[in-house]
Amino acid sequence: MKAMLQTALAGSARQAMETTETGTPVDDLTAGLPEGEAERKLLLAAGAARVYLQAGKLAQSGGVRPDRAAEERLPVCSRQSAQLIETFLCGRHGYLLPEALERLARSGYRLPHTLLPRALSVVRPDVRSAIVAVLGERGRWLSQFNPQWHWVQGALMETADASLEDAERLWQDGTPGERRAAIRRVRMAQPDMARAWIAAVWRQEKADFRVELLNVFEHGLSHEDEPFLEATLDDRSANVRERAADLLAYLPDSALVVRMRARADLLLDYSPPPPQRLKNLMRSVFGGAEQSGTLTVQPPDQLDKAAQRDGIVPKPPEGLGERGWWLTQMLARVPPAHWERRFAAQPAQLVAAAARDEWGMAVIEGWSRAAALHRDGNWALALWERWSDIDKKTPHYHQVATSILGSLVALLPQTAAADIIRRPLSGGQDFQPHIWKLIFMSIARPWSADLAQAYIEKLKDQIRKDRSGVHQASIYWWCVPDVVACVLPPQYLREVQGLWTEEELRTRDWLHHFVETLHAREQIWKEIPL
Amino acid sequence: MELTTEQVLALAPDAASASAGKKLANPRSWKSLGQSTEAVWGECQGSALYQVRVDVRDMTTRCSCPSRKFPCKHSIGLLLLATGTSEGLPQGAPPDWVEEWLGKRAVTAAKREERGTSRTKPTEADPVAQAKRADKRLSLVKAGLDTLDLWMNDLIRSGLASVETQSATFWEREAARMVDAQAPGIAARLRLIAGIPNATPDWPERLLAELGRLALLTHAFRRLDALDPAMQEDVRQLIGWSLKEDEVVARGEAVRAEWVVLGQWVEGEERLRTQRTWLISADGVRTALVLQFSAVGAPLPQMIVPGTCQQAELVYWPGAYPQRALLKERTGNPAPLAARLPGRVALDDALTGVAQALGRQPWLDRFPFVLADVIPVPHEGQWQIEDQTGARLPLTRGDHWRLLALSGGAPVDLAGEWNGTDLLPLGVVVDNAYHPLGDTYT
Repeated sequence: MKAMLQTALAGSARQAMETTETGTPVDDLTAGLPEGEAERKLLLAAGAARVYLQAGKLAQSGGVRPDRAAEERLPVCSRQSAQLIETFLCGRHGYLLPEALERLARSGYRLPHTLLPRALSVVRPDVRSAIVAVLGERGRWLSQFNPQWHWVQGALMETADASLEDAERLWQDGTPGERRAAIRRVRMAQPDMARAWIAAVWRQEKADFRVELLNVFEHGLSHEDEPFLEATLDDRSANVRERAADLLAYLPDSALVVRMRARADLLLDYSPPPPQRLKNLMRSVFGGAEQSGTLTVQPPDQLDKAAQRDGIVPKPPEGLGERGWWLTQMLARVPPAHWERRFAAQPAQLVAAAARDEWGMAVIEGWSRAAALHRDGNWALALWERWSDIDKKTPHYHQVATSILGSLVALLPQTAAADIIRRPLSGGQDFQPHIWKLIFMSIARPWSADLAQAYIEKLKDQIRKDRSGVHQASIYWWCVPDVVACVLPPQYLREVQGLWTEEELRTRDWLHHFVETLHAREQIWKEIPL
Repeated sequence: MELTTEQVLALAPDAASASAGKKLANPRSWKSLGQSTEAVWGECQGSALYQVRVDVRDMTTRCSCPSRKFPCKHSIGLLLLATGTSEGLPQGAPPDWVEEWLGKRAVTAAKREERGTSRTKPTEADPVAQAKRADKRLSLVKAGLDTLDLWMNDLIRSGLASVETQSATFWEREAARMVDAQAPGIAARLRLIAGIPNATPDWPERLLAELGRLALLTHAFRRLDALDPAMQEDVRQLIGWSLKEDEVVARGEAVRAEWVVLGQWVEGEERLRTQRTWLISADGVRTALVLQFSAVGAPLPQMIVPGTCQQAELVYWPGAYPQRALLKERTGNPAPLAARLPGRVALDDALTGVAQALGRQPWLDRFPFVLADVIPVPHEGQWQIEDQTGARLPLTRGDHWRLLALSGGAPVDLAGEWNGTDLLPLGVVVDNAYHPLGDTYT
């Protein structure tokens, strides 16, 4: 056979034909061929040998097989919900996946096996964490075979059934994502052990990853962690130092908080409003402002090494003076409740007093960041007003307002959040669309009937303006419905849809999108009942 | 409508249509919707109002949209809606535009039936002229194959290594010559052979083998009279005497049975596509291949849904090992297969079947495999399946994640197409449920 192939390759004109034997029983057949051209004989022998070998093809023998997947413990979801989820997985309304998957998980079902490859291929982090709960045994088993699906191992770490042995294995030789998940798992169960593991590898890790490791301390933060975090304030990376300082600031009465409080106490002083009988007189002279008392602000002149070690960044962002910037950072690491005690005053009074000082915005930003860090809802309410009429402020504060309004709303229970946005919603102060979007995203879900109703009223108002040409509502609101459609209770669908004419629904893409989203959510609620 | 979502999606001509169909699978896109025992229908609001209807007895779809894809996204959307929502579509009497279409279809079917019976003998005007034409073609083919043989001998003389640097026209010229010689089957084989050089490391071996098989074919043709009649049919078809459908019906073997659709896939480039559908009789004894051709934009003549079974009459092209068949008549509605695959065997038995088939018809290229209890084994670059005896065969290049997901490392029944080298998975049965493994999913 080999000799034949060599002849055929080189050409029988160059290399004399030695044999047309193939070493198979086919040779008996070719032997019977009439004498003729050698080339023809070679071709026929090759053709017959090929059929012979094709017919004689044998299976290979086995090697290692994968272990079997465990039996499923959850029932498979209905065909209808599977089809709905498949649609979302294919890109249509992908942002509805978290809600749909969460409902599926809460009602105790899993995805059908046939959807698993597609489900495992999602990339959005919020979808991934929702998918883990509905993968079932099969999905977890399947994820081991494709490196792109290994994120599941990490995500599984965060569920209660992950064992500490698995976590240790991943911590030793997993990808950065898996290691992060593993150490988080350990931290939940045994905070001290997690700290010891982190401390053991601390020096070898890159700065970015050290920041991520510090984030792990958020869970179960305690005074046991203080010595490690305090030492971390000497880290070579500024980002690491800053994160460590945030964590220490969160620990009541940590050495850092004590130091920072001492610094801050030198910066602020407050005198309460005069007693009632003087008020009327003063009001006639100065106007109504003095009711909240007076805050005296003395921003730092210098920044010493010790303050920098505590995470104060010397260089201000563009458009901001050094002193105000240092002031903000120092206040940001002091629990806001401290000022209530020290000055025996309500947050609203202090904030109002601060607003009148020339350093007022620096103080208010510091307090706002402190309120967010300490999740202080009382302060959030007081601070909200100051940020909500931010339009006249400098570009820096305008930018800060955008993120701070969202984070303040997130501190509030929904009823309180609904209360404070009602005024701007009902036509008083108004925000730019991107701020609305952030606010809507930050409010706790699902929306109450009250809030939904307030939103719909606002929408009606906008539509009226839009139709009378007063206001470019279609542009103004374009990004908001997209977010709202994901949080509005589905029973409001009909009402919202009825606000527009057929023509409007058909000709505006964003509107179409909005209504489609509501419909998709209505389907989710119908097909995946809780 | 008893189809599964997967089965409906497998009907889509490509992934884009499947996903466009999914978008339309919500009641909002539809003005009216309904179903009866014979049909489902709906009016879809697109740039215009499109009327979509499906005859559920053979899954033939018809839409008034101008789409060049078939079935169009509206039809896919309607079928998804009919199968995917918990309550299904509202039952009712078909509206006029559906009734009319169903009526027309019935009339056409009746006409075809009538033509089939009345034209058992083709009404050829002049049998003498016909014989003369046949003689002329025969001598044309003979002369053509003579030059082909000389050309192949020359190739061996100058060495196969020399074709490494030849451009595509080298093969195309010879193929065109075979078309002129009225041997289109040979021309098609030459075009396939043109793809072998440099394609794989072992191309010289494969090239020699395929040229050898071509030589066997011309050899067989010279001895045509000495072959038995069935083999004569094969050789003539392989060279290019194609049979018209009524000739197949008149001369081929008809088998009326409950047929299970094992799976299908579409091969071919942009312009002309060939849909290959493998079927097996419910008793597991006979397998058949139904080929359907479509130019882009033209509908396939028939919808055949993988994973369904239906009472039907198939007629095989005559030959020593009949494989290709046409679907002459279907009775009853297609029902989803709710059992294990009939005729399933172990790997060794499937390969023995190949040997027996080649023993009867050595030019067969591809074979349907229905395998019992195989386990897919993922392996970098080359997946495999392993049966209960530990025997393994390679799967087609690429990944087979859905197959793996469905098996979970446990044995499953698998239907696929074997090309002598690797197996293309077409459908899998797990817990008595069929799942297509077609193109739409890879």
